[in-house]
Amino acid sequence: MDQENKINELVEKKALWYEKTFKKTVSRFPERKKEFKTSYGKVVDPVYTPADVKDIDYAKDIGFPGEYPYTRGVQPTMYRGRFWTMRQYAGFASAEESNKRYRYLLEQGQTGLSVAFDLPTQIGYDSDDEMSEGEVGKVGVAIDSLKDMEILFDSIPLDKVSVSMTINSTSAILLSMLMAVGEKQGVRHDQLRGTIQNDILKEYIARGTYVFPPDPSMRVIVDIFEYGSKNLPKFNLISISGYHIREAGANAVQEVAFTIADGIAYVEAAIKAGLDPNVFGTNLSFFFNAHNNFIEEISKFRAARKIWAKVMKERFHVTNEEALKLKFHTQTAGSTLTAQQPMNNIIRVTMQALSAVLGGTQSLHTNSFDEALGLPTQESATIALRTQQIIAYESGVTDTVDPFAGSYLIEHLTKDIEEKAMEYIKKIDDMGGMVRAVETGYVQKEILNSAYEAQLRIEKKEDVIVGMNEFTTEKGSKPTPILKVDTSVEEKQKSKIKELKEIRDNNLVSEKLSSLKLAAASKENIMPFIYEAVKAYATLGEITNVLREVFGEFRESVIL
Amino acid sequence: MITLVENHPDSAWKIIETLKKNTLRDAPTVGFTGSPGAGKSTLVSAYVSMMAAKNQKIGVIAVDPSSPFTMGAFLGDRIRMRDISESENVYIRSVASRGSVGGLCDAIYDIVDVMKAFGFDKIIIETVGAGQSEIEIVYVADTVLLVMSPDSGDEIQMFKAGIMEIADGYVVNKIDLPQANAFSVKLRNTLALENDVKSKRKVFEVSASKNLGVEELEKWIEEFYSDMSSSGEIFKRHERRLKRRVRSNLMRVMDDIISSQEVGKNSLREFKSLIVKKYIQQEACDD
Amino acid sequence: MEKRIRVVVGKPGLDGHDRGSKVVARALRDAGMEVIYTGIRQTPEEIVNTVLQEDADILGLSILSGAHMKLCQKIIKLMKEKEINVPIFLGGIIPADDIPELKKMGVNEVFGPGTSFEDIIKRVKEIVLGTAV
Repeated sequence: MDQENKINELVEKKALWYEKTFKKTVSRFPERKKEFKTSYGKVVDPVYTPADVKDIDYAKDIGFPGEYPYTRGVQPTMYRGRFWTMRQYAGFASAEESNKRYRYLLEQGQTGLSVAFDLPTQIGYDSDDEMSEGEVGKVGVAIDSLKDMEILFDSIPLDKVSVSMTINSTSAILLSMLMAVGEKQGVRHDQLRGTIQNDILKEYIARGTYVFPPDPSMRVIVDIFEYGSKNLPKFNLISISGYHIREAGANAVQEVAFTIADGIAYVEAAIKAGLDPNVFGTNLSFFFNAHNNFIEEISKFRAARKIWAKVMKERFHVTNEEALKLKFHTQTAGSTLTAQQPMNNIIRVTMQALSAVLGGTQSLHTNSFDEALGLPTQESATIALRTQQIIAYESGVTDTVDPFAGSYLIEHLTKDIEEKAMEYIKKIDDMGGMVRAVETGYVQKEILNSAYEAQLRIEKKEDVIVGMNEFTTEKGSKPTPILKVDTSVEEKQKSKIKELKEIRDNNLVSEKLSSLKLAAASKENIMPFIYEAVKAYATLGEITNVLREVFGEFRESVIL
Repeated sequence: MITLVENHPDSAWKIIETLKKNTLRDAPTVGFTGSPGAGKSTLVSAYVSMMAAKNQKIGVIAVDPSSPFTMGAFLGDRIRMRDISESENVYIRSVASRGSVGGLCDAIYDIVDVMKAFGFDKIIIETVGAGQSEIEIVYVADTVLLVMSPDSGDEIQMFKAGIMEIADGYVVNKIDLPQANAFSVKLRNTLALENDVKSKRKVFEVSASKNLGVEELEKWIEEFYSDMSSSGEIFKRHERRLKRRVRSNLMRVMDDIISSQEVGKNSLREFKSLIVKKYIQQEACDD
Repeated sequence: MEKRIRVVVGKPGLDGHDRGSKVVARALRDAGMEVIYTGIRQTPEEIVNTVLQEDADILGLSILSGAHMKLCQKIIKLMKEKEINVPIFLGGIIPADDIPELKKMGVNEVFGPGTSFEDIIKRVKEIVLGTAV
């Protein structure tokens, strides 16, 4: 009662302050804008007070780190115990060159690997396929067979280094390859640590490297969950991603909502197939974007953790605490970096990275300043890594857990984002779930609308991008050196494939591929069959083509 | 060719006359209409696919609305027909409505004629969408199918008048959805309550994306057309089309003239006779 | 009647990042053009076929994967074979060094990251209508 009175008094006092002090100043010195808004359109007040958090109960809504609802973090010690994994996404051209870059980054203090594959590899085409022409090795490393994978991890101990692979439609194949390489190194499957992205829904929504239609794709994912939760307990079998959704133009609320909705769809599919969420739930991980609005982003991460914990507990009745925890990797927002005055991007990335750290991320990739120009050079990749190290060792923010908790604005925003995201999730539930929502194009449309509005704001200079629409410099500034991928990679890969097909046991390969086809057409788990095919040195394209025959190919049909 | 007739409606007839000298036959035209989201494009794709596989040459005209404010248009049907767009036997043309109100575009008759002159076996037209007034398709096509989807709320209610009256057949798409059967039943009941003519029309249950029921539909369209030919119904429709076309042409010319004339202090009668005079002048010039 | 500019916008090759092409397609539509959007994973053959059937006034390509040289080469070659003479504009991640060669190949304009809608619309109208607007 007394508390309520105090709050009411405060509300009155704020109104008074607003009418007198605030308005007086504004009449002489107007504010920069009529309204200040978050990325999702919420109007931000000039000042926040305890009254704005009066409905938040510390014990219930915020809690302690490492305890439900995990708003403050999934571990009790967070960075006091161990820093987040500094995991820079890298990979280009051939396995040999990428291996060199990985070893360099590990020497420089990077603590985990993140593999970037080229588009043919992501979409299941060998380097000698017609569809791969011009694309081999351009946006990532070209992997055509286990042979390439062995070169990729040469001298990299898989029992010590965790490996994250950004691979989706063909993740079963790459995961099998990783297991096979580990085996050759003497590393048991249950020792392997890492992540496969394996999130097909966001491919349909925002990224485009899908191969098969939604239903068979979901089946493959569930197969991977089943196989992996038994054989690869330390491995994250999915990285449910919001990063790309945000990059495609979504706002912060949509990023959280659609990602969680994707997560719900995967958990439902797995449960339907008979798996126990208390078991596979611990192999799930997430991937978010660290965008510009510093305070909004910190609040967003906290809201995401809370929502997921509640979803797993209340909706799926999960009792294993480990399975309630939203563990996530973050990448700073590539789409915010400019081609003009590229050095400015170092500052942008720093702020974005800081928001992810204050948001409690488990793993982080910082973009290089030449993001808008090409793949990172060694120099720019090093600066990006140093950015993380400086935040970790020199800023002091890692000395306590969730330092911004209690800020009236942060707690208020955390709650607001949670509520707005839940509204979207309910809407999607009413549509019949995320798969349905994606099939009808609802999600894509929402995202495109946000993207268009954002672009219009930039064009009208309502949103200022320093160096791009404001504070520009005339042409004639020194050109930035960029990384060029040698076009000979394609030729080299083609000859490698030819050679491989001559020395391997082609009968064995045929046999394994036939078994795979049968398994795919039935209800059997295809993972063991893919593993066998991979060990026989069947190529990625050969394996994917078998699956294409059985599952069919997806063709985008929507949306604008 | 099509661009020419689209952009130069006054000379269109001359162009078509020249082309017509080369063809002997009049290709059947089938129209697909229905609300956005009903799956028209997917259905057209499945339907055309079937015919293209039998080596028939098919022309598809996909109409999308132009913005009334900017006159720009987003022509997004082609992307939904990827399966057929690669076939050598299929020609797809995306057309913007350019302010036309009947659900198609002003130049549609001319475009269809150009296509016929090029010797297609069949011409398929997909309209903007259906409401009370988007009924132009009925004049342009020989056979009209209304495509409906069970997940679009109270469609049957919306369609009571207008296109529901004039479609030759009804296609319930997405028959794999759980609520599809109930929808189909409701539709048949509604039709049964309506007048005799309507209630005799065929209702088809299909899933365009899963290619279910499309073969049946294709057969029926063939049969329906040959029935019309033998019963003479087809001539009635051609006559109706010609009248409509003349009217449409007249209206367009009139609109042009009206908008270019100054009203000044003319009374209603004076203004009308001024317009008629101008029209006769114009016709004389054209000859 | 003001001539309606017909634009084909598409993404050749394997790159699936379509935010830019979708947003530009919308902007062109809002500027009064008729936009045929072909989506991602288009082969050069598909794109040229579309340009031909739709009698496009101009073709817009978006490529972020670094495969632009090869893809543009193929598309331009196919257009020459079919005797189509349609101007091309390109967007995406295109290193400045490659632009002169692309233009020599036959690409009319390259729009880098950060180009405004206004500039794109203006330039497209210029190229198609042949006059400075």
